[in-house]
Amino acid sequence: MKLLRRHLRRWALLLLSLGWVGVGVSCARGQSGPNPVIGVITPEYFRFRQTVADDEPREPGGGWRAVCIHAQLKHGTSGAKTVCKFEVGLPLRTAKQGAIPVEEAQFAAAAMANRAVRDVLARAHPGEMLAALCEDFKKTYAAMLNAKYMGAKVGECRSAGTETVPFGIKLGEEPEP
Amino acid sequence: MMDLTEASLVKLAKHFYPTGHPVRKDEYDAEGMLPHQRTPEYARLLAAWDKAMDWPEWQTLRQEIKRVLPVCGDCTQPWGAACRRCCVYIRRPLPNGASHLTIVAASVSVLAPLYFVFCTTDIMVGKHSEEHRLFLEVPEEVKPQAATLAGVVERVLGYQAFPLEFAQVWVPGIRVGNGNGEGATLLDALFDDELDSLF
Repeated sequence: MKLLRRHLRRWALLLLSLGWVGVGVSCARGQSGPNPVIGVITPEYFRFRQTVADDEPREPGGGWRAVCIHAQLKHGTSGAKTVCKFEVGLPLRTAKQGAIPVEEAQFAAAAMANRAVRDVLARAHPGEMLAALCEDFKKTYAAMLNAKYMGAKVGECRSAGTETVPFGIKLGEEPEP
Repeated sequence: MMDLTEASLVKLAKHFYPTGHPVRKDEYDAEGMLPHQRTPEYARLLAAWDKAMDWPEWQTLRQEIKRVLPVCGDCTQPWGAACRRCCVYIRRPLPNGASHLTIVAASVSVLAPLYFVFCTTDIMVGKHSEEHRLFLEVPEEVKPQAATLAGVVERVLGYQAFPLEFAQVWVPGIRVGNGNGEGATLLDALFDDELDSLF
């Protein structure tokens, strides 16, 4: 297990160092036209907290963890700001996949968030607002995460007891961790 | 006892879910909230969840279920759907190392004193599901477990069974889950719009 975690961590770092560049539309208020968006969200942002206890070790499934991410988007020149808020929830243990170690959950959550953003931006229409893109992102991301971990949820930030983690993206600039 | 008519259940759903407010543009307020998140319906939904997650009777229910079934794991997806859930797992081996997994869930609405019992089945090969199915009415082989769960929910919580004949009644315009104001069924609204995601 340690070896697997080390392996996942190495991939996460590699991904971080590479970054991704998606050519999408500007999401800032009042902006339109294509813009390069540079940045990745890394596993460290997914600071999950347990919201349902995994108190039945004899059962194959149970427990829940969640985190709320505020992905803040700031346009480099105008300074206009918008935010896509989303909550990621994952079981602690499932009947199909067993216990999901937190490092694995963080890695998968980050990798799929980045993939979902790429997919959403690739099909976005010019001038589409961030709020609408954020809705599309949540659905796309939820489908990806649920395909890997049955029961996973992505939606609005609603849960009490979770940590809210800001993530800054500046259009055309590297994110600030 | 609740009035279990179609009209009363639709009214109940509309009490907890705002109608309309499709998200098409950036209409955030100073706190970054969208219009539907500033409605009384949305506030009532969050308050119902807060109450359901600090609910002593839920723990009593689980203890009582454990008296009659080996265990019942807490498979709630909090604040995501509209129900607390307790899951029973039944696995039987199949040839070639595969297995048949049935997850029976006692699903208790956080919005009204209603419950229903349903299940999913999977043909598992290792950690992969080769065939996944959802049953709103459980198959014959797990009816005893489902009846036991239903009996304990009714005895401990005094909840009524959700009338499944209204499950697919469409409530236009309400926002449920990741929907965008296009509407949802009563089952989506009062329990979950992703029932097949038992884990």
